[in-house]
Amino acid sequence: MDNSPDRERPDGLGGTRLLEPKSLSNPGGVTGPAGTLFERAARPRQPHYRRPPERPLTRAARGQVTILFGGLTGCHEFLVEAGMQGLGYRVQRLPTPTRTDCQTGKEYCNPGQCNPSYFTVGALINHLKRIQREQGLTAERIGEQYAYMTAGSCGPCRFGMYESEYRMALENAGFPGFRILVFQQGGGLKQSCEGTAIDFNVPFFLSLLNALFVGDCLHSLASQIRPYEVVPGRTDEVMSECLAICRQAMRDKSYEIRAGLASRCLSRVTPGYDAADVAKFLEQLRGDWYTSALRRCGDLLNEKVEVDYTRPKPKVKITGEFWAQTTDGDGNFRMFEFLERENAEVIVEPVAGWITYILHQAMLNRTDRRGLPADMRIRPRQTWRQRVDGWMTYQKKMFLMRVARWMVQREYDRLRAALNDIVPPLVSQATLRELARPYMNPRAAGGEGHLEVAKTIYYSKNRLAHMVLSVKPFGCMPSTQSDGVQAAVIAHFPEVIFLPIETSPEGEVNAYSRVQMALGEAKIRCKAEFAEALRKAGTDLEKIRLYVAAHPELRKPLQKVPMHKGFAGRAANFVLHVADRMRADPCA
Amino acid sequence: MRVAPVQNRQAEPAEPPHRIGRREGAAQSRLDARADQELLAYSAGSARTRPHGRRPFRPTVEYPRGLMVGMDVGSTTVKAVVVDPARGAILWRDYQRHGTRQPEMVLEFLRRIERDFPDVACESMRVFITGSGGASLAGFIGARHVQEVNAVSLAVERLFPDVRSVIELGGQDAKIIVFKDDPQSGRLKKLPSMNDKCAGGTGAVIDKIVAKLQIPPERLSDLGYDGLRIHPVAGKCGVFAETDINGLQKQGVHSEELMASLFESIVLQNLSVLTRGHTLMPKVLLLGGPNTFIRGMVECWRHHLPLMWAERNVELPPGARPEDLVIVPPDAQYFGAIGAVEFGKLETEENPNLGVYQGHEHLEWYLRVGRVQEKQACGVRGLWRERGELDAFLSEYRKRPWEPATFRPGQTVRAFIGVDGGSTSTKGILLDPERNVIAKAYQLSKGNPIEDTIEIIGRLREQVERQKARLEILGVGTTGYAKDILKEVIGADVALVETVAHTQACLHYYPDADVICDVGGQDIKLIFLKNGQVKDFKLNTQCSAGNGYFLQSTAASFGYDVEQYAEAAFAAESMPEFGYGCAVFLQADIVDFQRKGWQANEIMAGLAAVLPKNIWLYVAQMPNLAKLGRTFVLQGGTQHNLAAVKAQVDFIRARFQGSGVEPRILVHEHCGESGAIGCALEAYRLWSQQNRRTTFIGLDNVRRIEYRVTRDERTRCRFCKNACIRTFIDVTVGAEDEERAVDLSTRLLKSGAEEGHPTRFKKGSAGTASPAARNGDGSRMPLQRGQKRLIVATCERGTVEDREDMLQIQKGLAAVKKANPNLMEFAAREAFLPGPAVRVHDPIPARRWYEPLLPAPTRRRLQAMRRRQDVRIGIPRVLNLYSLAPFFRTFFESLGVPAENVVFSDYTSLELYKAGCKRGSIDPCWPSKVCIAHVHNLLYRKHTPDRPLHYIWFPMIDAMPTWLENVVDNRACPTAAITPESVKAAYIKEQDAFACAGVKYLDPMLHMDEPALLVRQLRDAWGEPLGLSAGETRRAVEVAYNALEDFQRRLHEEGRKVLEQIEQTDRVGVVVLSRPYHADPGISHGIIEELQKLGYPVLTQDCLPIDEPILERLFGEEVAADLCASALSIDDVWKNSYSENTNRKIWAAKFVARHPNLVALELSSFKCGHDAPIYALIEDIIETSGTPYFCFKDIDENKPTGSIKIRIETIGYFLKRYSEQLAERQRKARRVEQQVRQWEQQLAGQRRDLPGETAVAG
Repeated sequence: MDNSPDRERPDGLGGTRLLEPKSLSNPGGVTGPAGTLFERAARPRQPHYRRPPERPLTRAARGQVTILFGGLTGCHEFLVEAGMQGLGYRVQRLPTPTRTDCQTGKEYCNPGQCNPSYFTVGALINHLKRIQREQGLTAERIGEQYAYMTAGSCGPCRFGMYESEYRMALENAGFPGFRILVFQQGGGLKQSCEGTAIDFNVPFFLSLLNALFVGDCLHSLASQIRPYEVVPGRTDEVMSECLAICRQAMRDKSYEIRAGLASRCLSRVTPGYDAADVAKFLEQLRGDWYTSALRRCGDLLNEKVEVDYTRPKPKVKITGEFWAQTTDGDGNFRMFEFLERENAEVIVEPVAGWITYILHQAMLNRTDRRGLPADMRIRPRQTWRQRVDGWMTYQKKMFLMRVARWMVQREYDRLRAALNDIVPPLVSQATLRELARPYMNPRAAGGEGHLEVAKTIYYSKNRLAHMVLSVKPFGCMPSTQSDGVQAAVIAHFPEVIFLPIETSPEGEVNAYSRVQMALGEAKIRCKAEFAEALRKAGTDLEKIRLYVAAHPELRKPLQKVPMHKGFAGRAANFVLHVADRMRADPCA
Repeated sequence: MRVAPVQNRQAEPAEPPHRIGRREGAAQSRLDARADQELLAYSAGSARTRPHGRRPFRPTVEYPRGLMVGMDVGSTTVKAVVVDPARGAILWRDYQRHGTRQPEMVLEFLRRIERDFPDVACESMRVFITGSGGASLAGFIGARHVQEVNAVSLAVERLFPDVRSVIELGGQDAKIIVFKDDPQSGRLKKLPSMNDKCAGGTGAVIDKIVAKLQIPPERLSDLGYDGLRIHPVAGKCGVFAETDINGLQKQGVHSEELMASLFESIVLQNLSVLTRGHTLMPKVLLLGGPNTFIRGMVECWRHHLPLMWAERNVELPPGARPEDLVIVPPDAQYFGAIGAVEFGKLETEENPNLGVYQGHEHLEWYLRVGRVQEKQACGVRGLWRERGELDAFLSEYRKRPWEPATFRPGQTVRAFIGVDGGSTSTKGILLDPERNVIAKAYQLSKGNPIEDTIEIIGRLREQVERQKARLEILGVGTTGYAKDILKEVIGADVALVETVAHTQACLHYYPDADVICDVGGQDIKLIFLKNGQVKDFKLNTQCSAGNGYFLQSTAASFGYDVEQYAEAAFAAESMPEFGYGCAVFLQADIVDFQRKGWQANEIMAGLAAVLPKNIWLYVAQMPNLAKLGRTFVLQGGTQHNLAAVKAQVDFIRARFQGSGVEPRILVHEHCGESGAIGCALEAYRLWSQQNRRTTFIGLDNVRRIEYRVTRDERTRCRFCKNACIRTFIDVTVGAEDEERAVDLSTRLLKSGAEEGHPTRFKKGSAGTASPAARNGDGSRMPLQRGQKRLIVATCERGTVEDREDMLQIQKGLAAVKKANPNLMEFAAREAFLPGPAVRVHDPIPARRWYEPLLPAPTRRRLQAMRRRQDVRIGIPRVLNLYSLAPFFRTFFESLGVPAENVVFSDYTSLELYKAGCKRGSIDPCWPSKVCIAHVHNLLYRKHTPDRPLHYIWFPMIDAMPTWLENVVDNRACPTAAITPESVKAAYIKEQDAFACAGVKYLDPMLHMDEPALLVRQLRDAWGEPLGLSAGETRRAVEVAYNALEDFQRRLHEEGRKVLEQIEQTDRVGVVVLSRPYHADPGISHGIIEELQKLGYPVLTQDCLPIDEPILERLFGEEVAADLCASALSIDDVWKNSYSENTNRKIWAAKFVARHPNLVALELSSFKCGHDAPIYALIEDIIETSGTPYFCFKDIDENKPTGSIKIRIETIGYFLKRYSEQLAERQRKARRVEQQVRQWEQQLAGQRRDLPGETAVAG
């Protein structure tokens, strides 16, 4: 994944040209060599290579075309799928990419790509081939009935070039002209073109964001509960029901909202958004559509799942490249499963964190350019009026981004609150930036930028995790450099247990082995911490367990366990919490 | 949360979501990890459902804490100890190689332990098992699995508590554990690192080379390091190491030196990569087979570790000798097993029932039944579906045994000899004047190609003379690795590059071939033809994953001869499915599959099946075979193996499915000898078409050849500071040759593709030598009478002995270089030259009495301004500074920093890299990786007490200026942009090396494409250090931009001059499509210079002229037709144009495609993330126009000299042909032009003669 700062583009296309070709052309009035000779001796005329024309997906074809997508966890994808269906699109999530897909991707992509490219391209091609095989459709027919939608960016890492890679690989695989739809991550809430089938408008992005946030909450919740479930497999069963509830909510959500007075007034100070758009935002802020769905999920979990938080398990924070840390298939060696099998609790990274990061970087870039002329000339010829206009534009854009940041934070927190605040809050991007600054320039773009470094320090220094595992796909350029920087972080923060693994399909066994190594360290630390917690609690584990057995609310997954400073483990905090209750409980 | 993949998307999407659970996710793929998981689940489940449940621990009177068994199941051995934990005594131990039969060996160990402790019941024993094979077996016997590094760490902590670093080299893995204090747990924290994807630097590399050098195991432990000469050997990969060893072996380097060199490379590989930049603090413990059994390895560590400590100022215990701090413990092989027991001791305190031995019965069951089920779950059908299909294949492809020709007694057999001196074997053939093969001979390499060839020619001769016939040689051709040496020694008529030889051999038999797939022992050649002309070729430059040697060596390890391979593989009804890729991973997979019970023949079938994938998908990376043509010819020795052929045939056919075309797949009639046939055909051509009389020394003389290989101090070259050791091969061929050996002159340049090849031959003897030759620098090894000397050196100058010859060579080279400018070299030089920068700084104020009264910031600024004269700034000569250095150089100079005080690091060289690479903790692309060494160069070479550096300036360049139009953006690649931060980390992590040296490291983010922002960023960075005002920063930036523009203008001008020159002389120029930093000769491994020496001018993408006239000529019509937005736009070919260097490459490709005198050579570094997405695009742009296109796409740290040489020679061969075609076309065009002019004149004359025309004209 890629963070593409929202760089000012005076010409609307980007790439400020400093070296004018005119200044370089024809120095000294040279007329060029042997023109006639060249013309006669030119290479035999033949057509030159041109990139294949793109076939647009028109609004008229919307009803007939199924839009495929993928690239997130299954949970997120189900919700996004439901949301898009609710908006009237025919959408379908791709199966979770597997090693077989990766091999397929390798066959049809350019060599030397990073793994997310191979996995996702391969998954798409194999899915289309499966459709071809099972439904007997021709490639042309598939091209007419299906399209693929992906997020895009304009650099600097090669994620921005995926679009071309998809097209080329699909052509190699026998699906020439298959339609690839791209929406830009940093492109704002309105990036539709006239006549195109997808309305990249406010309902589209609200639906997408809600799906991602609800997905984050459910994903995080499952990761926290599953390691402590008393009946193996119970969490997944109940979570399946929760997902059904949320899917239904996503699908049933209506964006037909009447603009009231407040909306009409506010629309006057929000350039680019009309009253109807503002009404949708206001409804999002005031409504409880998604929070009520999540509350039902929480009740279900409390009712049907029993947990035992007295079992100490090391907490492992997952960081790394966006796709590798998100997918729950072979793309990260099914690392979440593996860690849980190895008795660890996984702290997953929310997609919402990525959204706040994009916003933060956009604001940072804008701040860096504050007061500079739009054309970036060294000696600007600006009138006072132009300067004032520039200042106003800056303030307006910053204001809108601040509002966006506030909304993201608020909505995420509301969803968390519906689940009794069990899901960890979003970490402040400013905090992360300052933590990373001595080691990695927060303006470094590409991949996760400075985030990997910052999260390692944040989770270790604040004792929120026993270990940080950074998963990255083979060939991730920024993430590799980030690992280089982590060498200094590890040296300067002795408490950090950090392990980077490169998830190349060839190295699975070694990767597991290396994770086990680091996990061994984390387990020792977790045990020591648990022993310290018991000592501090002034009681023994048996008494705690007896007390918990007598108090069913302490066996509920969504109970609130306060965090104690210096204790990362859930079990350590739980025994301290129970000990506090026991002390306060005259019957204990 | 996990959501099951959707199996059938046609199902109603509104149906309830699939069950969320890991099991379903796991069902998607079927390979090993999954099988492991299922196996673990099964074994755990089985243990639970045992009729009597798990037996609890029961101590005995004799052993109150029971017995603890520690077992280490490694990739090659099983080690076990039985410990009485109460007394801390080891009661039993053993160490056995398991020969890949891990479960069987574990079972055997368990039975023996049970037998040796008859009075101890199972439940009185607790088993703790570690090692790569331990995890999946633990469940069957009730053991507890212990992670390897945990186990080793615990053993080290107990046995050697003062050890701070452990280096363990295993069979296929290498581990380094660094112990550091953990403030949280109060214990030692372990920082383990382990080889991840590659077996580089492990025992596997040693095994491979030991087998190659045929060193008996008993000698291995005695091989030393101290006092032996070290040669450059790549330790990064066994494959590369073997290539280097091959080369050195053929130069006559002794095997002890080769092994010492290998030890060195392995140690350096581990120090530079596996330590992840950590200092291995003393004491250091060496573990693992190679480290403990091989004397040389220990000596090598004891040599290098103290050097590292000295460089990094590591404080050693007082009085301790550094060498004594590197310890090899007794019983090193048992550390894993002992550590497992230590783990058990800790864990059983809390849970006494942990790891209680449940007996071996279940393991027996697994061997009998469970493993079969496991296999079925992950295997695929064998190489054939039904017997009939196999029979049909065999009847089509099984060859009739080749019958050598028969001769009449007394007959004179006239023939041509072809000799293919390959890296692993030498092949020879006799070709009669009708171009039929009449005799063949094969010789596995004995280490010296001359010896092999003498034997080969002897055998060929013997096949004729055995029948009482007489052999007369009409011509001789050589090819293969040793072709030049052989040509000179036996007087062959031609030495032909392998690729060409194989093409000729193919076209001779199959003139309609479209694709030649030659799979040899070490290399793969894919040659693509169109109408009998070579269109393109691909070689495995960096990887031997798809070669035949791997199949052969695997078969040998299973006890099969290569001839038995196919029969064994065809006997397999099912086989494991390998993922294609690096040979080392395949090796790891083999071990894993063996553990799972796959039989040797099944594994061999699986390997045969993966061969075509490795060839086409991994090495060639061409999945779409149908577009290459219809007729595929399979050549090379590997095609003797019918299992490999079947796999390839099936693979190629599958790739044609749906294309409507049936491929024609042929196996060359003489697939093993096609190289030899090709060069014999060339000798025939010279004989028949050019009436050349052979220069062959004669069969009798071949027999009499004596040679002496010398490589020692006496052969050291003294013509430059590198002082390389050369190899002298002195050959005596007998009286006949002596008569001819009177010419002592050395040819300055060989012809055609051979030009510039660093091997020279000098005929003559001391007696006949000219006085100059004798008296010049003279040889320290005088030639004996009748001897010829062949000098193998690393560069041209080293190929002669006396100065006169060397000067002549230099003169010749200089002439070639002058005639063929290398603009890459020009750019690399010009970018860093100090220029006369305009001084734009504020006037430096004189000291005034009132200065102390001024505000502090003003005072600081004044002081900083005065310091500018003295300040020295170091800049690493890396990455995008190859295109942007003029900007920074000028920026500093214009601010008053003297030009000589802006210091660049040296150009990349092996020495520079080796000196500074050990701090690196990551493995990015080579141009990025080398940056740490460049900063090291600045910090420890350029920064001296008398001339200190004050700053190291390594900016993070995020975006670059552009002269292209309509691009999305002009960003730098993130690897290049972020490298300064990772380099900084490497130098500050343990101690701040910059602070220690008194140097400040500055690496701010810069946006070079936004001038106003850049002013701000530069002032932020340098405002304080140089006391910059806003105004002077602005002025300096303007001047710097002008300098940059001027630099680029000079490049374009030079490019235009070269282009004019080649257009006027109808010559071909090579445009190198690469990133700016490939101009660094150390990054591109001198490839470009070799090309220049071939006689072709070299241009770069940044120096292509962008003058209006030429742009109009090349792009004018397309712009007018609205096919692209402008001549400087790439929107017609590429949409995602945000990477500046990528965009420029694409534009340059368009330029080359439209210019008849240019061809393209693409250079790209391994792991280049911005090049990879446009590989196909560049090829498409170039090849659609019919322009020749060549590439080196995986340039890495390792310099594959042999491979580069073959490629350059092949490129040279094809370029020569292309040049001839071009010149011919131009000649024709001129003739047409002349003819047209004549006709025009005639017509004009006729018009004048017509009545009335004159009047009109008049």
